[in-house]
Amino acid sequence: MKSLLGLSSYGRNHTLQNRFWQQIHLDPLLLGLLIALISLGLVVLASSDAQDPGLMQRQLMRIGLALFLMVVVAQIPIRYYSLAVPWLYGISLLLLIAVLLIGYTSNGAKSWLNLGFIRFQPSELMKLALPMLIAYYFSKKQLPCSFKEACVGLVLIAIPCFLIAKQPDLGTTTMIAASGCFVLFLAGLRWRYILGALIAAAALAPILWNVLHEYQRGRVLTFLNPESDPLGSGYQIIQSKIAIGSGGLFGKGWMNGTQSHLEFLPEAHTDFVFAVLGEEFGLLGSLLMLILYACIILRGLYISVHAQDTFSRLLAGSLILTFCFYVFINIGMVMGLFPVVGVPLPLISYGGTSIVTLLAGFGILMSIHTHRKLVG
Amino acid sequence: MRNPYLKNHLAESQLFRNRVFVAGIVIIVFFLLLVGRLYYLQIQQFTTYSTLSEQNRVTLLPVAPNRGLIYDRNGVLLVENIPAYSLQIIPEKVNNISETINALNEIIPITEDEQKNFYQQLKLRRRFEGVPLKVNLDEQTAAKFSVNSYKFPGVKISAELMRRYPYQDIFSHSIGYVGRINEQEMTQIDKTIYSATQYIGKTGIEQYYEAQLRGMPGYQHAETNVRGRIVRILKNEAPTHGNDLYLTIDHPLQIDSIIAMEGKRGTVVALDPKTGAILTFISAPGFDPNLFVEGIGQNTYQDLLNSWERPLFNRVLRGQYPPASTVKPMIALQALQLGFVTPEYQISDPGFYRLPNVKRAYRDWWKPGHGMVNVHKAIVESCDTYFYAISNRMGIDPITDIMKQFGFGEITGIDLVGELKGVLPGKEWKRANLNEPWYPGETLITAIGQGFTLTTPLQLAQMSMMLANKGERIQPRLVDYIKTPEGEIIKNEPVHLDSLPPKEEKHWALIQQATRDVVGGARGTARRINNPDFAIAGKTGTAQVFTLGQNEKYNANLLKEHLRDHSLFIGYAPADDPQIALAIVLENNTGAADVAQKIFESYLARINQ
Repeated sequence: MKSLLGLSSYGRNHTLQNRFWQQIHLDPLLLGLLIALISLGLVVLASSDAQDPGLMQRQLMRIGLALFLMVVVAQIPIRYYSLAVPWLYGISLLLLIAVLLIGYTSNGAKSWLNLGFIRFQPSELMKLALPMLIAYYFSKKQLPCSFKEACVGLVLIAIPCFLIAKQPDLGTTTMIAASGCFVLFLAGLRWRYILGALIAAAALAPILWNVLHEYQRGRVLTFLNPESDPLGSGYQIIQSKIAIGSGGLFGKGWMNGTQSHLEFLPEAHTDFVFAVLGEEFGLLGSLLMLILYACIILRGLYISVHAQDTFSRLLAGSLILTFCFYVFINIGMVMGLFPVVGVPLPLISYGGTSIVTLLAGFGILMSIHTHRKLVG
Repeated sequence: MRNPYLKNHLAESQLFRNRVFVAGIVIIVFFLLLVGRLYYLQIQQFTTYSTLSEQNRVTLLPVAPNRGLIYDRNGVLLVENIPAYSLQIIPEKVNNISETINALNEIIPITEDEQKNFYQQLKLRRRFEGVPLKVNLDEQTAAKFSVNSYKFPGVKISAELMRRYPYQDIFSHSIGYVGRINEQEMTQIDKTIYSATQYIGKTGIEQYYEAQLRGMPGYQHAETNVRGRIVRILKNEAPTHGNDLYLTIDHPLQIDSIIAMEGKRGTVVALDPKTGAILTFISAPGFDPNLFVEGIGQNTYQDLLNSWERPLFNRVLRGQYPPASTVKPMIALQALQLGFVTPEYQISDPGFYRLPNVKRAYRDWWKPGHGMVNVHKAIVESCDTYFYAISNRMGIDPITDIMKQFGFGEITGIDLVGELKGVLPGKEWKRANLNEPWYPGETLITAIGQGFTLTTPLQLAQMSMMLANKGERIQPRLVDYIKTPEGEIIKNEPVHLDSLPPKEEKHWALIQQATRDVVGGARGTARRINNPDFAIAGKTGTAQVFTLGQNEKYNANLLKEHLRDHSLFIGYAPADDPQIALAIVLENNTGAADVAQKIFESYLARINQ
């Protein structure tokens, strides 16, 4: 994997071309893969365009903004971020508290803040701030981290998670908790602690069950047996499986997906967009998307391994693992492997601010990779 | 040992690489899991999910078949399907439904019942489907709306086929009617067959031949979205229309019979004795079956139901009358056959009969008495005393036997639902129903067709047919043949039922001659209907509804109408070669024989042209 994905930007000879990318602080391979994936996503989304003519336009604007932000983020050397980390985390926390007090509700969760000129979800900011803070914290410690340090890290993770869970937004909570935990894992948390935590989680599951909201419990139950409620909450999973399964090897063809076009598939352009891909482009189209995701993830891991300081390594690793986690949770959910959690398919699903956050994250990866002090 | 200021960069880097390596393995496993799942769903389960997707996408919209038409034996159309207009509202296209209805009310009056009905239907239908507000609009009203339709977006006129009975009450009890499928029927029918149909046969032929008439719905294969809205039509599968029925009923004879009845209450059943084909089937008064198709109002229905004339009551099938003197030829046949009397045997009739040692007198209808009476005279003059006397010699059992042989006490098996079987009197019957022994006096009145004996007009017609056929019994039926939409003809063949135990030819000859002399003889009870053109054989009857006291005298004018005697006539013509046999019952009235004569004349004149 190193030879395939590492070759173009890190080799024995720096070509003129490489120097050019170095100077504009972008990683051409990662950028190319991202643009390929986003383009594939737009093709799938265009199929949903018939139902909402303004959809493509809005998504393109969002992508444009996100790409711009990515480029900007990539220009800033990573050491400046590490300086800003505690502040960023603090501000994000304050905004999350503000959301609970004065935020407004959409789709059942009180997660939006209206700043007058712009509406945004502070939890998106936290998606970057939390892994940065945890990575920053451990970069100051000697690794592998001690039990006490791990506990401190867990507390730092728990605080924003608690605030977001209050909104309530189970999907985002899971993702943010995961991003923090990935840092802990990469920081060398001892296996016995990891094992212990897993056992403790299993033991605590019944208690967590009681804390869950009714609709969240329902989702878990229908995941376990979607046919138990085919017209209610199991409906999405059943219809999504039908969409993907009926796609077959080659799919029904672009714009010909009956499950999505006749609206049997709910959330066809947001959380369940992968099912549209599966239906219209079949196994081949689905595999193409999985391969693009795999390449992006491998490139991200490559970048993290080759980062030059602990903060960069932990941050890059956490960002790319979180991205990977997104992909698994969403596609697994759409194919009926995991319960329905409100997690969009990264870089593909329509709407939200997640695409902006994600590309900003990739901006950080590019910054890490292109601001290295090159030896030689 | 730990010193935060002295980090081992190489070790940390190595640790990180190890962790990334582990993560990489997990990621590969998960990717393989996703690819495996894709393969499972899209390749292995492809057929299953493909089918489910098609089921989602394609909706079968049932298309109503045309209900089979009903013709008489000459091909006269008795029941048809006519296009009817209904006013419908498409809920999703109307902003305020109650306002729209109020506005419509100013152009076309809409009753409260119709509104109530509409709101009920509204709950059952989908938002984009038309909900009927007013059905069966005449063309004028439909035109009136059409002129104003621009004011009512979402309101439309729709045309559908509706059952129509052009002869209204003339065939109401034989053909019956269709009505909207009710909740109880809903649980019994095959819903796929009725998916496009709102009507089902409720009574009469419409009910009995429902399976022939209804046809099978066709289907439009429509691509629909999740809310059921049609996106496009993929395929049309035409419905199979119902089969047409050709009845044995003779339309002109039915009408002539009604005219002959002169508005009297009662029944006429005429049939072809050679085939059992029913020519006339009247239970008067009838009713207008169209009322039930349109949805009869509660008040109209109650009025019909509670009317003292009972127009909804099918007297032919379910009316049970004493057969009165019409049983006399049959009883005489049995007495001759079993040797209780000879043709020459005579009694002396003083006008009454007394059982030995009993004070009570059994009176003859002719107070002075008929004098010396043999079997022939007893039938011709309908002498009660003669039958009192011979029945006392016979006892009840041979009488029960012969009545049973002529089909009393059991249904005829006509192709209609709801036939009653009357009462076949006898020792067993009385023990089972009244838990009493049989008394000799009861034998006497049974022999003149009174007492416990009850028969339906259909059973009387059957007896008439058997007298004409010398005992051969053919099941009466209303449908001659069925014609499929492809033109294939399915004949309803006559069913010959078990014949009587054989009777001697000379006894038949005597009985047939006697019944012939009822009309043709100088002292026959029906001599006034004697006819130079053809010979009629028959027997009159007068059924008591009200039992007089021992010394009372019957005076029709003094009795309330519903207590007056019924007038009966059974008979056939021409007597030598019977073409038509009939039974007539006129409730609380007289003149059954006169009705019979007109019917014979009408029929024989026409078929002999």
